Amino acid sequence: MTTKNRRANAFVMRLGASLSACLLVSSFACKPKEEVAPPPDPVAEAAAKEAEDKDAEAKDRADKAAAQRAKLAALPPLPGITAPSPVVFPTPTVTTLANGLEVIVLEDHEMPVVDISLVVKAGKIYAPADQSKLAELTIGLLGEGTAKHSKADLDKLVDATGGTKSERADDEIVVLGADMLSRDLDLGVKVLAEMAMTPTFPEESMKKIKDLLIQEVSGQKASPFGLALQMSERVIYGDKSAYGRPFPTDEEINGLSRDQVVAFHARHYHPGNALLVISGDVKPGKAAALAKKHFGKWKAGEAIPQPRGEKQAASDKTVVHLIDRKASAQATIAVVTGAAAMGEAGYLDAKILQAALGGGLSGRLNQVLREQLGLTYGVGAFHSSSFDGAMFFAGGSTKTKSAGEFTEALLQLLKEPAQDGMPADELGRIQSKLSGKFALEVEGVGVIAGKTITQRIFGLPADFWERYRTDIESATPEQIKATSSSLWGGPVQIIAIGNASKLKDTLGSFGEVKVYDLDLKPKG
Amino acid sequence: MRNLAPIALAGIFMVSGVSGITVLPTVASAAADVAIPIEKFELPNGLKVILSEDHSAPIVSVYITYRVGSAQEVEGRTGFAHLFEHMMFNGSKNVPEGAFGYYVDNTGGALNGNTEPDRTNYFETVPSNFLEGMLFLEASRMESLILTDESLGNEKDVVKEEVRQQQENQPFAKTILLDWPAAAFSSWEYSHSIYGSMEDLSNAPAQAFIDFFDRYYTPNNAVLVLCGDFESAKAKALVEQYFGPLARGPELTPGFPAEAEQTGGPVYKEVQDPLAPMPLALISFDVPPPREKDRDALELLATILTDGASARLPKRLVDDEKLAAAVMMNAGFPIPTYGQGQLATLLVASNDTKLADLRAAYWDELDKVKKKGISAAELKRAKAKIYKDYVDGLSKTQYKASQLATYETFYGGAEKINGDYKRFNKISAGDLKRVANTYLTQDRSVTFDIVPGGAK
Repeated sequence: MTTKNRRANAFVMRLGASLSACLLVSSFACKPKEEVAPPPDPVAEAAAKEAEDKDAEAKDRADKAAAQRAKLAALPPLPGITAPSPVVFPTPTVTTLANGLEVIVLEDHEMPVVDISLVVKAGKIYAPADQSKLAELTIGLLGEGTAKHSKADLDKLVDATGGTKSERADDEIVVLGADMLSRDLDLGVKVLAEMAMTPTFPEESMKKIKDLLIQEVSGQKASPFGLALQMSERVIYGDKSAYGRPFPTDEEINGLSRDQVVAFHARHYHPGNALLVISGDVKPGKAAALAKKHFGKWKAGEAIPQPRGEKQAASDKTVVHLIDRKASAQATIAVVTGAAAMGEAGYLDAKILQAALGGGLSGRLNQVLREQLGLTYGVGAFHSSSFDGAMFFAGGSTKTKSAGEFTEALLQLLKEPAQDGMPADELGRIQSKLSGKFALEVEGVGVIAGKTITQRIFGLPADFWERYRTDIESATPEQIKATSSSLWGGPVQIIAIGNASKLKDTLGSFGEVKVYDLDLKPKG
Repeated sequence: MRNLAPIALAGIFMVSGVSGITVLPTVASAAADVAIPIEKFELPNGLKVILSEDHSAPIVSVYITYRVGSAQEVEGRTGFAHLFEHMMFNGSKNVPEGAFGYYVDNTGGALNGNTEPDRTNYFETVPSNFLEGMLFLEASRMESLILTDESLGNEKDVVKEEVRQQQENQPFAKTILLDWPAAAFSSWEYSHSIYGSMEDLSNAPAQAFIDFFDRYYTPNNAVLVLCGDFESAKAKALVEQYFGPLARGPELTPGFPAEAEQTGGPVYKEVQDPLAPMPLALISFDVPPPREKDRDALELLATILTDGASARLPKRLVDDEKLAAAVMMNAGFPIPTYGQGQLATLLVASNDTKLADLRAAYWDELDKVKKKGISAAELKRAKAKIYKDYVDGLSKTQYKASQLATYETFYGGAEKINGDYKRFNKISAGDLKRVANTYLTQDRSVTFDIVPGGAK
């Protein structure tokens, strides 16, 4: 019998068992005095046996995983561990121009290169709901020509130095970037200033950028992970948050006008709404002087309120959101839940849980789903923050016929820390691991610049990154258990991508199944 | 806080953990020289060791390249090199099953491996106080990897899942990883899938894997690179302590497969891909091995044609005529080889474009190079790009380690990395015109048009 059939039968038998139980209850209700033993019910017995078998399988899996964890925890330490070298988180030099533009400089003179980023709080969430690609269209057009230079001339200027320029849109910010040899810093700052301050938004470039945006959406729809991510955000943040928007249609993107772009730029692109971050082989004085030279005449604008969506109430039941991707060679399964955002209580606990569950080969998920059960090439977990809360995502891909087994084991693994807690030695190991990881994360000022930007955009305490490691190390097992309960103590949302006709019955045993097409619109 | 890169393109450009990091092409400029310290030595058992100190961050990369890849496999026994990329993270004599990843993960560091036709790489980047531990782990698995039916069986299942995920469930990947190498390379060694045949993996007994390990995973078939925050004298002593006792393996003289030139007229195939979100053309040509003069000229030409928004192909195809959403041209891509190789172009069509029109514009640009050559300004720009890439390539610890391993394994010595961009100074505009006429011809081309559609 295939797994699929076994699960379908189990579902029918469970249904049969509960109906039988109801009938028995009403039977007793009608005839309370008749104390006759009910006749054997083969359906109920089979269902009970199935449930027992399933519990035994789960227990066996948990026991083996615990034994493996204990075996690994008992390993001798690696030889020759010495005292860690200090991790220095460099202090940025911050100056503010008269027009309000903050200039942040991080020095690193190891290589003769500089990274210049103009960060503007004009990311995707600032676009109106019915013009959801407006922020991306706007920044995409900034490189298409300025008052002084055509696109071709701008490109030639930068390419001649060997450097590159880039435009990027995140949820909260957009970033105009230039990656240059340090001797070309002046040119890099000048080009970014022109792009931000005097773009011409040529009409003839509109179609090109719109086509790229349409292709980006197509690409996301073609990727199991892209689909899973978009569906997860819809489920966690909901329609009332800019983070939970549906895929835009081609018509919506093609309908964006130059006037809308010009208005969006005028409202959001001004010095009080931006940060200029220069990192690398540069002295703060020189960086500030160049910022003044090229950005000094940028006109101040009005403050923009940060968009805040209404927080989505947690669902009161587990739902399987199944996206029908008929050509899938596998099933991609994720379990998602709302979580604490950066800076909120419980955020660092969630980071610890992310590391314990999804952290590399030794994470609990890979240890069981990959190493113990051979169900997947890899499984992981991540936590992402937004202005409207955060999302904890755990999942991976497996054979279509293993989807039920994979989902069941995944759910069990996620719920275990809430049920059993996290042993102190495991917690200590994870804390030490995150502390060590921080040393890798701060290699290069470009990465440090990114962390500095995150701290500013999310309004985190100024010493957030300096304290990060000690704060991680202060988490207790009780905190982790409580946070774990808040994440997975109740119903969860399951996201599945694959051939719906092959998955629907299997996944129905975990909760109500809602089927969607590749546009994430409900089917049937 | 997230940014979504175009995910479909990620499917193309990050084709795999199968193929790996390609060495940056490098070139010249009047800029000040940047160099890194390099110390090298060889143990009596033949292990070549490269040390490069860098105290800018408290981390260290330990990087081992074994001179074995899918090209060393034999028919009926394919997929071995890639399976070992998995097995090497399982148990060895002194490191129980599951402990390798556990140890490295607990440092907060990262580990990985990748498989190519000519080599397999294994690497860890960790806080520098764990250097000795990484040497212990690497030496232990080089000495005594545990290969049993049970451990092999589980990893075979994982590999099969990897193939489903990376090759069969991603847009374009099946054509690029399976169909294209079969058409572009003539030798069996380079043209068969790096993942190999799942049937071969299933059929092979444990002893076949043990024999493969004993032959290739030996000190004298490997290069060990340490890069980062350590003192060289202490690091050298630790390398001797852990790797010195390991026995030398069989003497191998690894070469490269003989590739027949594509001369029988153009090869053209149209493939329907039900997962493809947009049409894509892949056009490739046989080219000489890395670092031969003509190869350098072709790499320089690829830089001129595609690197930077002002380069000829993106300017015309993306900006002016809006036929393409993206253009990429690179040697050693998507499958890196160190013998004869391929220069491949990827043309991603814009929304309304027919691939035939896009390819026609591409060929027209190649014809212009063949007839009129390139300008002095273009040559200068390309050299500036290559110098910048050279500097960037020396900035990140793990990437530096990977390059040093490549230089030592294939390019005649790790020390050649310093100032290597200067070798492109020898290339003239005439060379570029000549190689365009010699190598980038219709008759020598292999073209795959991948279009959305087909059975679901």
